[in-house]
Amino acid sequence: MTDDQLVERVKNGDSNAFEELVVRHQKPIYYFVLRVLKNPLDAEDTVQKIFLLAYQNIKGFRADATFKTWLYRIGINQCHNFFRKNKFRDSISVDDIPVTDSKADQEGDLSDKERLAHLQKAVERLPYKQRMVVTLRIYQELSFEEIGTALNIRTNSAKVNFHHAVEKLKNWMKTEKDEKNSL
Amino acid sequence: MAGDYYQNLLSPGLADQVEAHLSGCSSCRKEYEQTWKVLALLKEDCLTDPGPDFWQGLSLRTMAQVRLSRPEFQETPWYKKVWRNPFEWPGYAWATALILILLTPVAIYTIHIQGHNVSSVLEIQDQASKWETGSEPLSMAVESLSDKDAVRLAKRVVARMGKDLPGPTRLLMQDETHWDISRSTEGLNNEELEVLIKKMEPGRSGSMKEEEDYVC
Repeated sequence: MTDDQLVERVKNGDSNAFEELVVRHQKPIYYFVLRVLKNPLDAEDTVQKIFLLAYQNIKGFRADATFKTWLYRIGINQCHNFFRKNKFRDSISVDDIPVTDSKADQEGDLSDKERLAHLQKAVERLPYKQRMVVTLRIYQELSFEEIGTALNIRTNSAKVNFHHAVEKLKNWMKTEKDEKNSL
Repeated sequence: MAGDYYQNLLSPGLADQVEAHLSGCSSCRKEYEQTWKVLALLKEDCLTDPGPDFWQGLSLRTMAQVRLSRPEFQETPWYKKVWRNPFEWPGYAWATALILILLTPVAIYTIHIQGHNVSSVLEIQDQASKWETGSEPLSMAVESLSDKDAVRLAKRVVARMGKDLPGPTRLLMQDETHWDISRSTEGLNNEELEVLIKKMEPGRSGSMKEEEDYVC
């Protein structure tokens, strides 16, 4: 059964259909929120809030976007609200997120692990919109059209933001490499 | 185009063109490889899967919250719709209507006041010109006007002829042109002077103080 069919059933009062939607989408939404908020507990709370909001407002969901994109849109707004409310609260560092780096773990290649850590920090330094575009594109594998819908920007704007973000990351990585070589 | 190429979003024809260019251009090839490395490194950054128990627990907790709250399936009553968004006008239409409602009385009042002032000023100017050209004595010019306008006319006369009435002609308003200073108070007969002085007596108008300031 497709998402649209399940949504129709939810609109007709079938909450089991919504459970199917939750099971189907909770994983990518959780990973996305975790990447943005950097805290598993906050991510879990936020994911529950996202699905609750989706359920409460499902009547207003229109077919001009997919259910998945709509969830991301709610997720982006909730993350934004979270940052607004917890502006001065310390968050868990990016280094504390559970990361599996297969190459580094297996081969014990420290330089790769270091590079990955540098890149994570570089991603954190990106402007909010560019960080969102990179997260949605690289990790959530959304198309630029879907990213545009989720962020309420045009598809071309999403592409340009992604391109600028990658250029910045490339330059920062290059600069760090040069600094390391000079030392 | 390069951005689309990295993302495999180009059509096969265009992708072949870019590939052909990259094979012949070392600087572009270098840029491409660096970008590719960054993208590959980004994709290596995977999060740990918390396991099936976590996902099951998360969906159960989410659904427990969902079941506690029901979505609003009832249709909103018409009076609530009208209250929230009457006539379904957008916000800017309401803002424009509100501004117009507030500004209209102010505009009408201003136009009314200006119209009144213009007619009054024209009347005074007309009487003043009649007196200046000698076609009508000052006493008649003053008499034909209302008390307020007569004082205004008197102000003009005093301002142009001098402070002390009667006395030597003195032009106080140097910046005012087109005034015949040869027509001084000496040129006025007693009756005209009497009418003028009477009109400018303190108590006849509340603007006497202002008038003195104007003259001095």
